[in-house]
Amino acid sequence: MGAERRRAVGGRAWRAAGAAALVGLALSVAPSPPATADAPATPPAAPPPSRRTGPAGSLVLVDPAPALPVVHVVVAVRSGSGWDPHKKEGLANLAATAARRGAAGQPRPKLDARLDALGAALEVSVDPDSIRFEGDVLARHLDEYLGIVADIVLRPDFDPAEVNRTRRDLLAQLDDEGTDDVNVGQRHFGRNLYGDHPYGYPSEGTRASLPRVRREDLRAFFKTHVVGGNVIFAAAGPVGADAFTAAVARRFGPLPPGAAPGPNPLAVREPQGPRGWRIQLVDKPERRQAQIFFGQLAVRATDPDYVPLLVATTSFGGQGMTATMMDEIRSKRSLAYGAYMTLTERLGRGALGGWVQCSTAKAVPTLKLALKLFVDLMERGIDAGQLAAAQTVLEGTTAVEMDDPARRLDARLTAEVAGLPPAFVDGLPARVRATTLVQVNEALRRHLRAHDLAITIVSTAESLRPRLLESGIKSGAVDVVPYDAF
Amino acid sequence: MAGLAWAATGGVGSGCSSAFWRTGKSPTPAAPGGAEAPSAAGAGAAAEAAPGQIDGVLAVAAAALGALPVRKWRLANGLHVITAPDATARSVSYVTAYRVGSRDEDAAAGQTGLAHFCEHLMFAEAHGTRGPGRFDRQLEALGGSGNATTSYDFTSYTDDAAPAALEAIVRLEAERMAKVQLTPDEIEREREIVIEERLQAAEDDIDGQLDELVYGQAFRQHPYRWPIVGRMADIRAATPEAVSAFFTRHYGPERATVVVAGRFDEGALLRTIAAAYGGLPARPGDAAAPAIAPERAPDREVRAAIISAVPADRFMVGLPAPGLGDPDRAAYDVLDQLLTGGPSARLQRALMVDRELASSIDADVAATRDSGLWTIVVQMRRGTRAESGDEIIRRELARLVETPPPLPEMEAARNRLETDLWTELGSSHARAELLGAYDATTGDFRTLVELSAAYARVSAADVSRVARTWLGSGARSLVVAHPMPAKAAGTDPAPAERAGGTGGGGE
Repeated sequence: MGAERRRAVGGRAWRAAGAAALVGLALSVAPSPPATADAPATPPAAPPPSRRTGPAGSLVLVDPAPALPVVHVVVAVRSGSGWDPHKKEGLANLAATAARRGAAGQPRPKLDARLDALGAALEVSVDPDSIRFEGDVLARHLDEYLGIVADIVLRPDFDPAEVNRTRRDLLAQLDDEGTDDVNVGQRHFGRNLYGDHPYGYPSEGTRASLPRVRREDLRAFFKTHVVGGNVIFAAAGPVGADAFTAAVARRFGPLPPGAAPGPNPLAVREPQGPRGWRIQLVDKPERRQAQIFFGQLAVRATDPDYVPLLVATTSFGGQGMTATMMDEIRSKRSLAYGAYMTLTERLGRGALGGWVQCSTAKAVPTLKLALKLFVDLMERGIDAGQLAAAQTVLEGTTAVEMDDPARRLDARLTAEVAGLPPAFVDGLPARVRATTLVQVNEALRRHLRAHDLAITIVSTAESLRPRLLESGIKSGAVDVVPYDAF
Repeated sequence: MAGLAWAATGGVGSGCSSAFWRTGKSPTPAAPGGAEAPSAAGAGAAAEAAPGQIDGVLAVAAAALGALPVRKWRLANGLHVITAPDATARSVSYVTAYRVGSRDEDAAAGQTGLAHFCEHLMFAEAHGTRGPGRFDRQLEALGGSGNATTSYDFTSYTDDAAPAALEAIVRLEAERMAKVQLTPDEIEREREIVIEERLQAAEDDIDGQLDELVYGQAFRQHPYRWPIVGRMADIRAATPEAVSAFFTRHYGPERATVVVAGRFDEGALLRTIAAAYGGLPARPGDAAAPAIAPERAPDREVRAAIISAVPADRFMVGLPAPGLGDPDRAAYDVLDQLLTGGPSARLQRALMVDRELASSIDADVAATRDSGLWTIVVQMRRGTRAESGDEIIRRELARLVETPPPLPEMEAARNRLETDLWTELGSSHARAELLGAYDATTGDFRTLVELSAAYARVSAADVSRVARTWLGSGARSLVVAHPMPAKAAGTDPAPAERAGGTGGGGE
């Protein structure tokens, strides 16, 4: 099932995709005794998160959240589509999806029925840095759920017929993604920005690459990467660290030992960003709007400039309605419904990516304004008032993001696979508050390349291309590609 | 999870305004002293209301959401307050749900979209300094973030922040309820943004298009037939006078429920709310507003077709569905799960696994106050047609009408609903929004609290009965989006790219 459609209309703005893993402030407000109405007493504060060693040297993370009877479970492998060989992009995703559809001699219908009987979900997601088997389960079914997940992770069948069926499904899903203009833009923008670097390819692969992946590739991938030193077991919910660690040890005992494979290509290979403005117009028929993506390569999450850049990104294009992009583009000029910039938290070099959507008639002035603002950011940096505002917004949004146990766990896992130290997530608010204006503006000076950008626009070329040319862009500088090109 | 999204829900419950009771449902009676009598929907897991008050704020109901307490309070001016404290939370979420939505618009006067337009303008400015985004500046200076949503039946404003900001947020929201400056300049600025939003959500989005068409042809009279965001012509034509009149008529404490979830001191919060809101007068009721007749729609088979940028046929079918507070609702939700809920649900199996006809299925039982629609969206694969997918839906519906589902399927559906319920409620933000939505829709937040137990009581016979009652007539609203004709050769992707899709080709 896709994302749930919501018939309500959001009036302000979409929340931008998480700019980074954030963590909440534990501001202490002493609870009062229950009021006069008859309801349970407020539960006590939850214990802190814990890290344990699991089977075959794996890592076990538990974030207790006792309020509700559901557990969010993730089994993560510290290798993702960043390991996909060139021309076999989508291998990791095909391997993980095929494993989910047949394991320990159980065909897909049987695995589905076992999960459904528990009322549990188990989704597969793959990003460049990791594979995640992830889902929610009622606490009373946790042990049985882990047994099913263990079959999938440890004993995938990779039955040839099911592998081929899965491949057909993934190809059909690529078609499906083409119905969403934002998805289309993100796929093309990644390629425009990163080129042939693994981050430039969508984790789900392409129409050309998926048919090249063979069954033996899937087996080899699991054998190499699903080993103790490369696996993380994580849970958030009403479960203690001792109980979860014991359950994992029982169910995942056969996990083969072994160190994480290395060297990770993402850790050693530097992508080459664009020179000048690389403008790509993704042609989709009958669009009334333009989805504008622009951005540049940034830094690894472990870079000392990552947090200063995060603060700068929050000031410029963060979730707040008073961030520079939203304020100048939406609030002051009514050019667009939303305008954002995010900084990705990655093992390899992340990206600073901007996103604006507006009607085609406004696309050129909106693009010009967004780029001018970005150039201004590079040349002038931010001031003390903007720094203070961004720090305050980050602290608040951090608290909100980390309020949800599942998102909190996701933040810990993202930091973990990005190579950040265990204390990073909980220490982030303090680091944000301690960041100085000099650090932010020095980071901007070192890393911003506003004259070397990837620019991808999804719209109808027949309408937008003439407007771009009229604005002074040379004809040969705009690369027009069909929206379902790869 | 179908039915639990904070999608369109309905406004009932305060008993202070006759406008909330247009459908003929009985209002929850006001008990002596201003406290409401517990509703039938709140029976079971919900505890009885207990008398009591804090600084003049009356306690009117209490319940538990998992291990979390939830209480409802009422001020003398009719403002409802729901508190859901959680000492384990990292933040607070503050929701103000007004019982006004697109159902309250006058389509005949060309005023669709006013509720949503008004929602945008609530962020314009309150007292004091002029300038766009003043509310946002104040909220974000506290480290908070705000958002809002408009549905058919209610409008909801959400502020999220670290706990230390709560007291200031209470004052900020009370100030906004008291008065918003709707200047012509502000209205013009926001009009352009609303137009952009409509383009994005309804015109350049295939499911937005299908949704509008399915609802538009399903309902004959009921306000659910026009889009919440409004028709483009009406958005362009909305006058400052019309927007101001809509705000004046519908925004007041007697028509609102404030929900606070997360980490806070309940007693201190209630005292702050009483001080901030207590002086706001209840606005006059909208007694002259015409009643909205309930309509079970569609009452016949209606269909339409469009051409769009889709890879293969994509279609949406809308079927009659009970409202959120309807006694049939729990069984209907189970029915939805049986057909579309998980990977082994009947339609998923039939359409996506067994015959590989479709690449995705998405279903939603609208969380409306009155009877709404159960919509199913199917993306067919290349080389297949909507007719074959729709035929399978018809067949599976007929099977459910004729034969009660076996117990293992029932157990799986109930388990999925319970898992989805608790997962949806995982954060303070979600709890505040859902409590506000359910309270605004059904008049009693305990409808939400009771859901888990309600699902557990649904039997196979209930599902069959509900299938016959709601789906037996075969009435349906169907819209199919067909792909555009093949492109001209000059714009086709490179042959190598195309070849890759069928099993070969090099890059």
